[in-house]
Amino acid sequence: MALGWHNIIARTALRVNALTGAQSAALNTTFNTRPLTQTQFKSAVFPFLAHVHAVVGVAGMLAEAIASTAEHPGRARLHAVTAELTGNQVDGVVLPTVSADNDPIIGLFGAVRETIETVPKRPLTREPLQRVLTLIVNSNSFYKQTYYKYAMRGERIWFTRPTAVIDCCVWNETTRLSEATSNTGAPPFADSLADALMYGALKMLMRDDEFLQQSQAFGAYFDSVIALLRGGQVAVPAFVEPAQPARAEG
Amino acid sequence: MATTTTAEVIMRALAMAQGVGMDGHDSPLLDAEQTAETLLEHAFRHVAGEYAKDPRKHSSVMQSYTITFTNGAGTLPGQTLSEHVTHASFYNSDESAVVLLSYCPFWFDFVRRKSTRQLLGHYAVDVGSGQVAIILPGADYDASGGFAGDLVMRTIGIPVLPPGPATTFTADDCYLDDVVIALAAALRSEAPWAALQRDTEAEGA
Repeated sequence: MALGWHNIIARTALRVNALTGAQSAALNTTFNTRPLTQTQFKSAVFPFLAHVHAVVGVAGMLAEAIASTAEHPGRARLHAVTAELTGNQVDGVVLPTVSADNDPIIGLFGAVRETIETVPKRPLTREPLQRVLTLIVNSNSFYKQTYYKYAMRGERIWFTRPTAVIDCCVWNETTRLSEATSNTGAPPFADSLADALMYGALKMLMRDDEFLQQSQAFGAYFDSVIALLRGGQVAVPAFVEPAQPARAEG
Repeated sequence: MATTTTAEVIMRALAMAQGVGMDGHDSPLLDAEQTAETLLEHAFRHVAGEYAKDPRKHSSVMQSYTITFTNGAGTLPGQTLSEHVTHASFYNSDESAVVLLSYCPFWFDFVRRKSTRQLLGHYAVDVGSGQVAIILPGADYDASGGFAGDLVMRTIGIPVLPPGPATTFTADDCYLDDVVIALAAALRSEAPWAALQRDTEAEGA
């Protein structure tokens, strides 16, 4: 995403009246200040870090939706690989929960690639477990060809090469919170999801009866975006204000 | 003679089998290398068996197997078609000189052979135990002091397939083509590889 974390946070802060600047010009200056800090926030309900946590939390939901959708192109922005796994084991290998960089793995696993060949990281193809086990056991060394196969069942993987890595998606909430606080990096999504990220954060930014209607309206939109992403959609529709918008609030 | 690898034979057969009719993405033969290798030796053996029915094709499937004899007995190579060992011939280890051996179908007859015919020896095959036994010309059967050394047996069989996918072996071109066809047909479950069967029957007729 070309937009940095604080571009999203500035937009959410504006909609819950959290930024300093009573007059338009002053508010505009605050809105454009980078990086944002607590200094630019006046809201007693939603201070700066509340926005950071809301945006990062919602970004995690978007990431989970994309990572849980096989073949979704957005997975590339969340991509990581696992540490090298050891194959040719009858009892398989327990699937890792963190990437090679120790980031928590989310969603579905991607391609499984072997790592021992001179042509590195050739992809393995998925096969029924029974066929893969037949190759691993290879009674009487019957099979002499080189096979690039794997099977997954539950929390385990079996594969027919000595070593392999698995493509995966990762989401490290701690790292993202740090990035979002200091405005380093950017949300790992396409720009077309910037509004979804903002409206999703606004869903979170309600307390008691503060911004309740606004939260419901934006929340409904965000939920529809999540459903679309899980259905494999790449582009999502723009937010349309409901017939009874939340203008009266705030 | 063609020089090839088992990986190449499997690749050709899969391409042939997958290329029939349907969208390649929907082919049930995608990732079927394991099935192909399982059927590979069957295909070699089946085609050799079909060729053996036609004397004109014997030269395409005649193979040389080096057998090490001890006390006149050695192991019959698993690649031979045992029903055709009656027409085997034997040579010294570099195939420069023939060793005249006549097939003796009955073991009890074989062990009683005497050197009455100085220029003709005998051989017998015990398929059950996988043994081939010989009595050299001019010699008597001697279970404890028979021939020791290597001889080459030429008989109808399949090539000795190498232990790895990248190691080459040689086979007659036409025979190899028919092995690919038979393997492709087998992959499509066309039992018993009817296309090849029809071809052989038509030529025989």
